[in-house]
Amino acid sequence: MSTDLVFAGGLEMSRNDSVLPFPHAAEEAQLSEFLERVERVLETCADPGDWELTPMDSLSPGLRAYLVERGLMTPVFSRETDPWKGFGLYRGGIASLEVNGRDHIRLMVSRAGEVLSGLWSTLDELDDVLESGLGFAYDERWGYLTARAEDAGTGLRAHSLVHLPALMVTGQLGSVAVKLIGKGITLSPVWGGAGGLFQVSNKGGMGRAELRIAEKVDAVSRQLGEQEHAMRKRLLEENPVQVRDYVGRSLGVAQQGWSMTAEEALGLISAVQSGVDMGVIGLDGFTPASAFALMRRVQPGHIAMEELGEPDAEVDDPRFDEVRARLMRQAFGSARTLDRRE
Amino acid sequence: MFADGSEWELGQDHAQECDSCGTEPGTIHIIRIEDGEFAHAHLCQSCAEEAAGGGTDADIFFAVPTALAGMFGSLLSRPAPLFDSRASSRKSMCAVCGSTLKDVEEKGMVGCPACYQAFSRHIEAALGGSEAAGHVGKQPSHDQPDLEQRREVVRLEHMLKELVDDERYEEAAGVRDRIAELAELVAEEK
Repeated sequence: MSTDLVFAGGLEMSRNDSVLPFPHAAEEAQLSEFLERVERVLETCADPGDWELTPMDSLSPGLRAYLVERGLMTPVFSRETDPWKGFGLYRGGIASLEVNGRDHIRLMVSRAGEVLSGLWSTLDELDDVLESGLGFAYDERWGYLTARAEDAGTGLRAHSLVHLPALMVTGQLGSVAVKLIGKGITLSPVWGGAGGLFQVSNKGGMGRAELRIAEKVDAVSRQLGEQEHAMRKRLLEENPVQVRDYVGRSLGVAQQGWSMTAEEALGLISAVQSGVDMGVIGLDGFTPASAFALMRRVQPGHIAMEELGEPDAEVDDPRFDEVRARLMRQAFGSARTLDRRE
Repeated sequence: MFADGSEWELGQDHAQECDSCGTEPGTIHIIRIEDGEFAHAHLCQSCAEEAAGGGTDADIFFAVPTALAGMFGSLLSRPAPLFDSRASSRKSMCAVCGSTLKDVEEKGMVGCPACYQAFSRHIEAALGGSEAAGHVGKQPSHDQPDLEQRREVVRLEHMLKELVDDERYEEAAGVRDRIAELAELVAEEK
């Protein structure tokens, strides 16, 4: 089965202290004390140097954006810089930890190009380490207790990122999304839908074990990838001139632009990737994984951290658009449109 | 990497009747983006399926389930509650953190782990369906011997705050001493 359009996947696990009020209802002193406890547990229960825990008020805006773009920090948490909130990074980014967000603990693993069920054992082991030192709120009937009752149970949210531009432009995704809700799966756009990227995730943490949740999200993501491939094939067969025109023009702009917003760049990368996939564009070595890596590199956090080396740079700085266009020219410089006979 | 306005950011929707047929509950939050403009609607399952089928001209169309906050709201506003006919049910309170059912309803979030016992019937009714099947999966592997004492500390801390707010300082001093004793006990057991 096809998994090449499933660009990335991640698992998030919510946990809470056994007795303290959940963060939205707790006192600042209780949360500060909890953050200190987490720090002690990471120092004593985990291997030395494995975890690096930092208060949120000492992380720069560029670094926070970068972490969100890498799937290591959730967007809502990245905007909260209270000193009693903490962010932990495990072995340089294999996993991460948010302390005192919506729940006391949110443990996350995320990978490009790997199935979710393969990530479960890592998350499970890290959860065991934290639980041994912290003790989590648990009830036999409700499972692990969370600030939002619908997350209780496993406390697990599995999500994968799927590239579905053809299903999007042909208006297929609405009915797919509505059908998936009935199966406990949510489909939502990522990055404003630019580039045709969508997230598939489970809804609710009860009634199904962790690995089954991950496998279900994996299966739905694969099916969507297959439907997308079929739709691309059909589009090219039924509308060859329009498809070639759209993809070819996108490549032209990607190769010749000198200033570009992230939204525009994502749309162009998406079009070129689809073109390569359909055999309309030739670009050696440009796989779906390379398209996803480039989609990340043109994001503001990545430009601030990797290209400019300025974690405090403002995202409306015009240099961002120039750098982004340069990255695009470099990536697509050797690409060419293919004639029907080639 | 993460979906826009990850689902909890959309959690402030209040459940209501379907915007289209006006009879069934609007359990699905539809968001349509056309030419960069956002449009929202709360629809029932069948109207949502119909809307999705005809959505070929929309740039982007997606749907998320209406949040728990709303489910509590609709439950509590029924003229004859399903499970509790007492008018005082909304005032029921968690003995540990002091959250009331009204707090839970307004925020869409429970106050503390003990709230799950205090409001168990309400949470069960609000979740409904398959979630009511209960937890399947991982369980903790470590005992927590000091759980009751720690819970009592949190309960007393909440009481202390209320006594100080009410300027009842003598009673507050007694509670503070009791917290100190318990905290010492918990520390010794470790």
